[in-house]
Amino acid sequence: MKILSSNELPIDYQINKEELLIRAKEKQEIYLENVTCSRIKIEVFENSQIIIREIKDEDVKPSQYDIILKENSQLSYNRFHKLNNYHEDINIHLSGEKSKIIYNASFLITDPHNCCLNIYHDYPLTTSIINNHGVISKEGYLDLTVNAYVPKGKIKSYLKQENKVIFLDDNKSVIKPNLLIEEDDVEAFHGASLGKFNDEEIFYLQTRGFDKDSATKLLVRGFLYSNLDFKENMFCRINKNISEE
Amino acid sequence: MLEINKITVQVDDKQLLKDFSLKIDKGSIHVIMGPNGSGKSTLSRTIMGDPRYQLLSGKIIFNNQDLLTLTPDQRAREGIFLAFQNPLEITGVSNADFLRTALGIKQSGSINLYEFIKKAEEYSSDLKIKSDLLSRGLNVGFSGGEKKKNEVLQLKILEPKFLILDEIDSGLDIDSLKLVFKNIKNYLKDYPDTSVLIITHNNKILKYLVPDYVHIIKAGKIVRTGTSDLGDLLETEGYEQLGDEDENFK
Repeated sequence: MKILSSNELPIDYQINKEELLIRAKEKQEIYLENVTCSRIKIEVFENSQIIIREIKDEDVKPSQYDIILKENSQLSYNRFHKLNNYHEDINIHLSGEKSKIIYNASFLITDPHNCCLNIYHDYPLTTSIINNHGVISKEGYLDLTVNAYVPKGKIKSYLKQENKVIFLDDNKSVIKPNLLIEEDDVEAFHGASLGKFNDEEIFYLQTRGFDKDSATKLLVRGFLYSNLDFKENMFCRINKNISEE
Repeated sequence: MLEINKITVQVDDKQLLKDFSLKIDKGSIHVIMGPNGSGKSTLSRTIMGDPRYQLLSGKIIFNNQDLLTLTPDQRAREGIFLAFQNPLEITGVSNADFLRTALGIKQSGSINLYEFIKKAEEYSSDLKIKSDLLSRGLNVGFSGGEKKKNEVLQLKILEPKFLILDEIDSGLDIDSLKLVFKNIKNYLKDYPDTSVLIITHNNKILKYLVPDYVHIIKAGKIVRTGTSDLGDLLETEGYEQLGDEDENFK
C-alpha cells in the first residue's frame, strides 16, 4: 500500500484498518496504490485543485469511496483498477458552488463485478464529468450503475457521463446511466457503449506486422490509457497488468 | 515478385473480383484505375488478407510463397505494405510508440532507440509532418493529408518490398501530393527492387510517378492494359467508352 505526494506538497491523512481519510487542499497531487482499508474518504477543501491517481491491481477491496468537494474546488480522480468479484460504492458529493469532479476510471475485469457510482449535485453551478473505460475478458461481467442527482434549485449544473466497455471474449455486461434531474436549468449528456474492438482496427494493426494478440493488447492499452491522466511509470504498471491478463 | 492467378473474391455474397489475374515483377510500378465499385480496393484488401474478403478460387504467390496461407501480419512481415485509403485512428497509443513497436516486430525485437528517433525525425521532416504528430495518438485528430503523410512515414520506417498505395492521393492538396510522391520516388531510388501497386481514380498522379503499366478495371476484371498514355486516354474518353472499346479489344 502506498499513499504518496506526487508534487512534494505534504498530504494530510489519517488511516486505520477501516478507513483512509484524506484532507486535500491547494494544488496537491496524490498517488494511491493498493489501499487496503475498506473505506476511502476524501475531502477537498475550498478553492483547491487536486489530482488523485490511483492504482489497484492487487487483491485488496476498498468497497466504499466517499468524496466531498467544497466550494470552488476541483478534483481530477484517475483510477486504474483490476476489479474482480466484489461490489463497490462510490459517492461523490459536490458540496459547494462551482465544485467540479472529473472522474476517469479504467478497469480490467476478469470476474463478475458490481459498481454503483453516485454523484450528488448538492449545490448550484456544479460540474461532474464521468468517464468509465472497462475491458472485460474471461469470466468477467460488469454491472455498472451511474446515478447523477440534481435536486430542484441547483441551477446551472453540468453533467457528462461516458461509459464504454469492450469485451474480449463472449462477455455480457449492464450499464445503467441514470440522470435524475429535478431542475430545468441544467446541461446533461450521457453515452454508453458495449462491444468488441472493430475488426478494421485489428486489421489495420495486422497490416503493420502486429499479430492478432499483440494488436488486441495495443488497442486495450490505448483504450485504457486514453482515459487517464497518469504518469509514464504508471502506464508501465497498467501495461504489465494487461500482459498478465 | 507478385503473381495473382485467376482469383474470384466475394464480400457479403457479392463477387467483386472475377477470375482476376495480374503479374507484378520486382521493381515495377503498376497502376490500377477504375470506376467506383469496380474492385480496386477489393484487390488491395485481398492481397493483404483482410478476412472479410473471401477468396473463392485462384492463387496469389509472393516471392514464390503462397500468400493465402499467411495471416495479414505475416504478409506484412514478408514485406507487403498497404497504405490505407482511410487510415484508422487509435487513441491512447502515440504515433511514435506505434512506429517503434511495429519496427521492433519487424526486426524481431532488436531496435536501436537512438537510431529510430533520428530516422523518425528525419523522415517526418522530409514529409513536412509537424513534430508534435509523433507524440500524438496514432492518426487521432490528424487532417486527411496528415494521415496520408503518416502512412508514407510508416512505409519509410518499415521498409517494405511491395507497396500497395490505395488512393494515396485522396485528401492531399497539390503541394502535399508532390511531396508524398517525391518521398515515394526517393524510397524507390534507395530500394530499386521494390514493386508498387497504385490504386487511384486520378490520372494526374501518373505524372508524379511514371508507371510501367496502367490497368483499367471494370466489374472485377482488367479490361485494358497499357502505359501511362492509357491514363491520358481515360481523361478524354472516360471509363464507359474505354470499356466499350474493350469488348472489341478483347
